[in-house]
Amino acid sequence: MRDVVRSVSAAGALGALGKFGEMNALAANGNYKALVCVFMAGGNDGHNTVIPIHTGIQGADYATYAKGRSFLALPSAGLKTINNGSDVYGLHTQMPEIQALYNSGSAAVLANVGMLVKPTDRNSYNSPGNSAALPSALFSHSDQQGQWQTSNPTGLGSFGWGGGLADFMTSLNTGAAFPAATSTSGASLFCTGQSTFPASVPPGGTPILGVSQSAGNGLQQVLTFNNGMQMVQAANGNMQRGVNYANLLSNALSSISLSTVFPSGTPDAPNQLSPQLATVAKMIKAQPTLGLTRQIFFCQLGGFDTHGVQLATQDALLLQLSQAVGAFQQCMQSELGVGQQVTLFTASEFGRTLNPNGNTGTDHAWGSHHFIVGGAVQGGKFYGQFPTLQLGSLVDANQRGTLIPTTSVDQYAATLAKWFGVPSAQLGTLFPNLTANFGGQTLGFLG
Amino acid sequence: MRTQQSSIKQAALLCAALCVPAMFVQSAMAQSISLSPGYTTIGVNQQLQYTATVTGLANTTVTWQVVGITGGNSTYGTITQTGLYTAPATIPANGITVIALANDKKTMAVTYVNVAPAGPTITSVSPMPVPTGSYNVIVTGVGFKSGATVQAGGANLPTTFVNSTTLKVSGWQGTATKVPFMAMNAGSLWGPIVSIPFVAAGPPPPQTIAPASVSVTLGTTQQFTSANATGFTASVGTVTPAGLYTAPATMPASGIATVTATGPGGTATASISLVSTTPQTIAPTAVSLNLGATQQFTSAGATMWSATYGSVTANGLYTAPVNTPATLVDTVKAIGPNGTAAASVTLILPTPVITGITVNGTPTNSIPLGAFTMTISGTGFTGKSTILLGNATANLTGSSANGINVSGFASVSGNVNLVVSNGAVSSAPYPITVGVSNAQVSAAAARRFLEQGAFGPSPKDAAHVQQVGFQGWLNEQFTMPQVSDYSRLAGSSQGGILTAFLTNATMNADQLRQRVGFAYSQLFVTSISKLIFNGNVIPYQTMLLNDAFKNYRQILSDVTLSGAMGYYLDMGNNAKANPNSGSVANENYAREILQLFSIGTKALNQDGTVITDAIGNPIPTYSQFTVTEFARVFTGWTFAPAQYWGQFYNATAPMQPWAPMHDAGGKTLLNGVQIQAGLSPQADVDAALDNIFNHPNVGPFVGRNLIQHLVKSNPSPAYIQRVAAVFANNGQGVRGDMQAVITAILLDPEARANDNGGNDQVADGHLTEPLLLIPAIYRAMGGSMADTNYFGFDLYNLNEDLYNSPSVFNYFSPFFHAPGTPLYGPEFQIDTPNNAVYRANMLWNMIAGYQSSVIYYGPSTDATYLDETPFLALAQTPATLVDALDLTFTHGTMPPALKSLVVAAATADTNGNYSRVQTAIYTIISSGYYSVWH
Repeated sequence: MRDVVRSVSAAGALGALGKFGEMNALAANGNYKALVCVFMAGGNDGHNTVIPIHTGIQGADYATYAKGRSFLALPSAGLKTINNGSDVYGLHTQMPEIQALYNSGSAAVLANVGMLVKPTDRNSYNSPGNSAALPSALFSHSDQQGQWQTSNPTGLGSFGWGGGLADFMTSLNTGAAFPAATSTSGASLFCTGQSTFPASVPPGGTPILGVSQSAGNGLQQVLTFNNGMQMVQAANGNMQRGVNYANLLSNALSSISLSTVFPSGTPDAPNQLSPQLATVAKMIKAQPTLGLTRQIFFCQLGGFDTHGVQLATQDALLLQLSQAVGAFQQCMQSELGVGQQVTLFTASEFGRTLNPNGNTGTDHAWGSHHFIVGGAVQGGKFYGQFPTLQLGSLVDANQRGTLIPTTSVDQYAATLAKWFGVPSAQLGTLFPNLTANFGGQTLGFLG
Repeated sequence: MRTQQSSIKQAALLCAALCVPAMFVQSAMAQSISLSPGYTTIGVNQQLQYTATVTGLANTTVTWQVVGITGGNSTYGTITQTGLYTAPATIPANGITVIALANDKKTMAVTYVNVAPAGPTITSVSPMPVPTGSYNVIVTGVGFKSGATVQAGGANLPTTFVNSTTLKVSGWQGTATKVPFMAMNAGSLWGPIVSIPFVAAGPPPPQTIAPASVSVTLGTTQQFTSANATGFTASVGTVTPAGLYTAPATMPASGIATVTATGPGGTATASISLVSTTPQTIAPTAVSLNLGATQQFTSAGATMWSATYGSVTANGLYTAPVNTPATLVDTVKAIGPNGTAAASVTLILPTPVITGITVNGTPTNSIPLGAFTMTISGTGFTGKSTILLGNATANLTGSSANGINVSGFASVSGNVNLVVSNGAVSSAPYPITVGVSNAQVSAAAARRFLEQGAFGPSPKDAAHVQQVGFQGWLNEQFTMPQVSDYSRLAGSSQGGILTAFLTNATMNADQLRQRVGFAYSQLFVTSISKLIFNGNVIPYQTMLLNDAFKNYRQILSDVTLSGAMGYYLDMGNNAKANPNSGSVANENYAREILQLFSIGTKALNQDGTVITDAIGNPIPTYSQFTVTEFARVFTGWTFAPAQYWGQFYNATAPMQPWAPMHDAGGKTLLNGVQIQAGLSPQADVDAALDNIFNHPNVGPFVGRNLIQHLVKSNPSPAYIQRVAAVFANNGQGVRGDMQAVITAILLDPEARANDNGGNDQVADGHLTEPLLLIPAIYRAMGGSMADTNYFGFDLYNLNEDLYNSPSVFNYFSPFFHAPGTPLYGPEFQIDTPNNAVYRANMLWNMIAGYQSSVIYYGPSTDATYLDETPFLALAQTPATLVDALDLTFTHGTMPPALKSLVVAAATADTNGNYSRVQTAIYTIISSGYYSVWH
């Protein structure tokens, strides 16, 4: 294996500055903003992520939860309690960092969010001939992942709303040769826009082209060949972008290091999210060199499809999530000084059934709870409507605690987009159902 | 000391006149002048520039004086009003002061100047340049006086005064450089510096003699010269100490003499050809002979005979060489009493005759496409025969009079003439066939077909397809027993199945089985991400290979009950609903078998297009309720040997039923089909799989998926429909016959369109995934793959770690879009820009080696390598090289515009044949045109 990662010197303006100089350079760009999506692939079980203990909501209490959850119920003793007004909830036992962020006002909970065409309840869900009013292929991983990332409930969206935001913000990133959208987890529909071809930056680093000069020149030549075959063009385009992005990135990151420690987990259970968020942090720090005023990131933590052995599996995953997000927020706030300018949010294709299956797991469901983290977040409280956990209720699609969302992904995304700089009047362009079916209302967790 | 005392006195005087006592200074504005330079010694008549800096006065001009005289005089020297002082010609008896007087006529500065005699001047040194080491040199110059000293490089040298223009000095200089020399007389300044070059000392040059070679007539003289020679000797004849040679009166036997001069550089020898007053003659003087023929020569009194190439007896009988010499003219020489006589022999080459050729030891009249070696049998061959095959020159690798070994690369099929030539003399044309005789399909078509039904073409397999045709090859593949297995792998290890997969895919004959099995493994996905060990996926992979050509219904059953799938998607130990705990049947397998393995989420027309309702919305194939019903079907199975419920996972055998945990209630399946209550686990599964199998979506859904894996990402609806029809009925009323489906996919007109190139369509092709690309390159170049190959890490990084996809959704989705296009391009999901660069680097490492044409991608003790040797001989003609690579990688149908780009890239590489070949290969295989098989 030839090591093709060459170091490119690019001390530039940043290299001359000390740590606090860098902080100031970033913070001085007051117009700078970044959005970070942490996608929990497989369908995170929201029921064991945010647990009602005692609230003013009918059916949202520990007893109802424990009854529906049966042998998968978490003991109330270990839960990380948080308050929403006078209501008391518990976060999963492995989430002390997110508990602390919530309590310090830097994190908010969005309850029971999911894909919707329009407001839906058990009755409309079950009414015959109502399929047009429902997201297509509910409960399917691939379809619901695509819908969350495109905010398009028909499943026909070819572009992600992150990519759409990048397209929309093109004027703010004028002159930047590096794309506004970056995935740390391979190809990302979320990041793909009509004119935005996202970068893919795995935590292990991006190789730059390492071939002889003659071969490299030859490659550049044949990449210009175009006989009209579109997939040939797509392959050539990927290669050309790959070469360009890698050169720009190795240049921008060559002098970047972080002092914040991102927990790496253990050799047997490495934290799979930490290195991704550390990569995001480095790219945020490199923003002046990359010349980007808006950045969008997509990170992914997989393994949430807990049809079996749910407790141990989710335990390990939420530990990774909480520790990595905690470190990231600390890095943004304390090391880089951009706490107000960077907002992280979680997503997942669906929640899971409250009621367990026979393999100590749960099955695919619909609505779930998510977190928004950052200095700009109006945190320490819940948004959306926390659901009753009584089986067969108006927010249960069947008899298993399959939550029908009460807040749509459109509203969730539009709230983030508005903060990111999309004027309210144009949110409907990016999220047609927001205007048509949700009164254009955003959620207020970013003020 | 005199000057210094005067200076102090003068300074005190000046201060008394001008200085304000410090205690009364109110500000820093006191007037003053600073004068530069200070006390200085200069030679007579030499000049010195002074500078005065006035502070504290508005007017900063000064008047310059020497010993108080404005402008000075000839005794003490003169000074201009810009401060340029010129010393007097004679040294004055008294000291000289230079004064700058300010405009206020009060403020002044003064300094002494000392005038000394100028030093002598060195003009040259002999020898020059001076050899390094200890040296003695003559220094020539002007104005030397007895007692003069020479300084070189800062060191005073022992100096002997000879006269006013000559000194002798000795010294030592280590390095060859320029050294500054200067001289002084007693009491004078140093004279001007002369830079004297030193050169490295060495031995004297070799002795030479002139003339070095000359003819001298018997009895006459010849003057020889040799520099500084101390003596001359002659082998024959006489020579004076001054080098005047006198030839002998009679011819010695040798006919030659030598004169040797001895001198400081050793000896030098001149050769003398003695010339008789009546020259030696030879007859005949010119003759033409066949190789190996003889000729009698005569030369009066000859005592010695010789020939450049042939042989000559003592009696002058000459025999021409048997093999072709470097030039076709031989020279025969005779030496006799009157010197040397020479005759010229023109050698005549034989006419070659070809009687036959053998390829790989077998007599034949054809050579294969690609790299070949052949032996030409016949007569009249020489080591310099040239071989022309059609219009191309072949490479001669060895020869005898009756056989020539030839290697070459044939890029184009057809009938050509083989001609062997000896210079202007050529054999009769010998017709041979390049490529397959009586081929069923073209070379291009066979190669393209093997990109769909195999892991790309190898030259050998392509020739075989040409011989037996598409259907013939399919029949062979369908009936060939399974060759590829994985039993050599340690079951408990993680990874390793991937490198063995590459070996099997590259080397084994059961190509179609493996290619289809690979597609199945991406349709019926299991993953080490959950199954952990090789031993858990090897039985599954083996099962899929075994099932490759079976009925889809059988495959569905085998997949469903396999231990690997049972564990991966939780059908194993899936318990019926438990009213006590409230738990219900696990939906995982129920959902994915419907969504991914058989029918998909949307009702399809038989051409694969989506059926929509009255308002244009897709019609779901099943509901959440259907999933819960199938979940109940798939209850009551545990792992072999099923000794108890909850038996631990066992991948080596199918799961076994455990009726007490089976939900035996009635179920409603797809399309409202009911199965009755009370059935056994096996009967329920059979009914459910029959229900799925008979859903109309299966043909178009599975058909499209396999087309995408084998042929193209964007099949037309008509193509899908034709394949779906065969799935529904193989012509004999059998549904799900995968041999028929595979045949339909590969022989469909849309799959076979453009087999001969030149008609690429906008939506053609599919991006080669890494697990296809790697074996294909080794196969195309006739390379070799072993399990120790180094591709494991690469494939992990390229997101196609075999049997380790992140989820049941495979490495990539059949619905992923090629970036920037409206087309589906599933493999693009793992071809991110980052991965594209990684892949480009991997390709480079596969094919590039410094000054090497056998490139390993594994330990060099094992057999993972590519051999580029056949291409090296083509490197000097880039167009020919690229023709060969076009056949190798792009069926011989590369568009001319691309070919010219590759030729240009190869031509631009002037770093030798290895580098040029590698640049050409790389430029092709890293191009989008090659990467997208079509």
